[in-house]
Amino acid sequence: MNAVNPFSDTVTALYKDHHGWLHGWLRSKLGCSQRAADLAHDTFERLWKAGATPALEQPRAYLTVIAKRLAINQFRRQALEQAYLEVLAQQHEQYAPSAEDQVAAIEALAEIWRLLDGMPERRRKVFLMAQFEGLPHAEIARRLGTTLNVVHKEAAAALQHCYLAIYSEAAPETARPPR
Amino acid sequence: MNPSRAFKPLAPDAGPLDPKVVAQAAEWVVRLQYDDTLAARQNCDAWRAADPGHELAWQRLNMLGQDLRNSTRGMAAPQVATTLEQARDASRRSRRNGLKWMLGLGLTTGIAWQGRTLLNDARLLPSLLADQHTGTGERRNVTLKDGTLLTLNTRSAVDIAFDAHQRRLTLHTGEIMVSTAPDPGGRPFVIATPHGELLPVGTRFSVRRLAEDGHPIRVAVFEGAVDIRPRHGGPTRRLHAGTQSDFTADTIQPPETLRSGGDAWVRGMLVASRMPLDQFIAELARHRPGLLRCDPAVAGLQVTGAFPLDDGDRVLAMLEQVLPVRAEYRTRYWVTLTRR
Repeated sequence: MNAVNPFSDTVTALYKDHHGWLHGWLRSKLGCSQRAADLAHDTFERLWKAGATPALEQPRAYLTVIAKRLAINQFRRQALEQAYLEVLAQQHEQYAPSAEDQVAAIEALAEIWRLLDGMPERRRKVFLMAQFEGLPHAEIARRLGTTLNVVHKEAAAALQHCYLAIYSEAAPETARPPR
Repeated sequence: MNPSRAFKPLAPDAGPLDPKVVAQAAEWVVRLQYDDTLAARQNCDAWRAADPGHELAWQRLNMLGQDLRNSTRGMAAPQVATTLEQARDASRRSRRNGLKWMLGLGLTTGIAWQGRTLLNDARLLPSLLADQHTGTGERRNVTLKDGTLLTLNTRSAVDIAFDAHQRRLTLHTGEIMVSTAPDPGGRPFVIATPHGELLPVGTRFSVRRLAEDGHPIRVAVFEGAVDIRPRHGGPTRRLHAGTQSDFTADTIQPPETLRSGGDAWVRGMLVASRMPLDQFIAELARHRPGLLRCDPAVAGLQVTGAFPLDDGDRVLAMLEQVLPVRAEYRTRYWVTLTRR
């Protein structure tokens, strides 16, 4: 990374040429100038943090891909927050985590959500019931109306899924937009 | 690239492993979950020792399990699965509505942003500061200084203030049953609620406030009588034994005959006599942690019987036997009753 200029030349050039356009595009989609400005800023920040930026044939398409991903993450995050609050409200005061714990919990849930991305429905249910609710496989089979054997298989497949999510990300790849 | 904080790869430099080896390792991990015998352990050990790749795959999967547990350490188990499933549902719904992602985003987050943010949600302010409070599924009997018997139902909070002039209870939320005792000093007994005051006349009665402001509060009188005094004035009304009434700050509904079993919760029972299923489920849900809902398609089915409040799962199983319904466990703590 360049110690004098925190932005690499490529990102600086991208910023100069396309920041205004990206902001305008996001504003037209979101209908909110402030949010559009934040997202545009985050998009370039992401690029800068990623360090290497591939030579781009269609820089605007690339920027919108990143901006969309960021927006989806934000959206998910909010869905998660809402759901968390709702579930917390059901728990009532028996369980009242501190503000810090709540933020940490949402953080962790967001990461688990990402791990589960793309997992088929039944597999995901088996995984959640086994990992977080500590239900025995027989009980999971009963609740999902399936056989013990299927539950075993799904549990193993779910583990593999998570493994791939973690270790394919760890593999070095440069020409991939940041998630 | 936005490295995950909760899930750290183990020995990332060791590179990728053969997916078949990972699959075998996953099978071993799962196998030992349901078949934790000496023989299984020995076979697993032998498999791990057979190849360094096997051992690494095994270690990585175990690390993953550990990270999963650690990352959610601060959370009650029901929250994790239920929150994730609910959030998924919410994001899927907005897609199903045919909104383009950006449009959906704008709409949904617009509401979320105007509304509450995580840290100042009023619902998270616990009633922990109340003198007496109960959690989900909890009931408590309290004998007050004057001998009055107070029972708190699930998720309830009450303040108690006795002084030289009056005996005063403030119901913040939930449901209480009160059997007043005569006071040697003749101090009046007052139950304060957001909608007004209740003045019992040597009596046994219950008060319930389940929803937020604006929704009526219900008084049910089992013995004696209770005077209702709405907050915004208007005439005080006396409610006699065997009747119940809903009141707000402005109005008092005409009294109705008590439903049988209205006080059964004191004994840990839910008694229903031709009760619509959605009402029954809402009642049961108050006593059970997590989310319990009822599909509109079965909402009108009628439930009759006496059910144990402390074992929600058993009640659901009982319902499955007598009604054409099925309990769908989305997670252990998120259940929807649907048509079978």
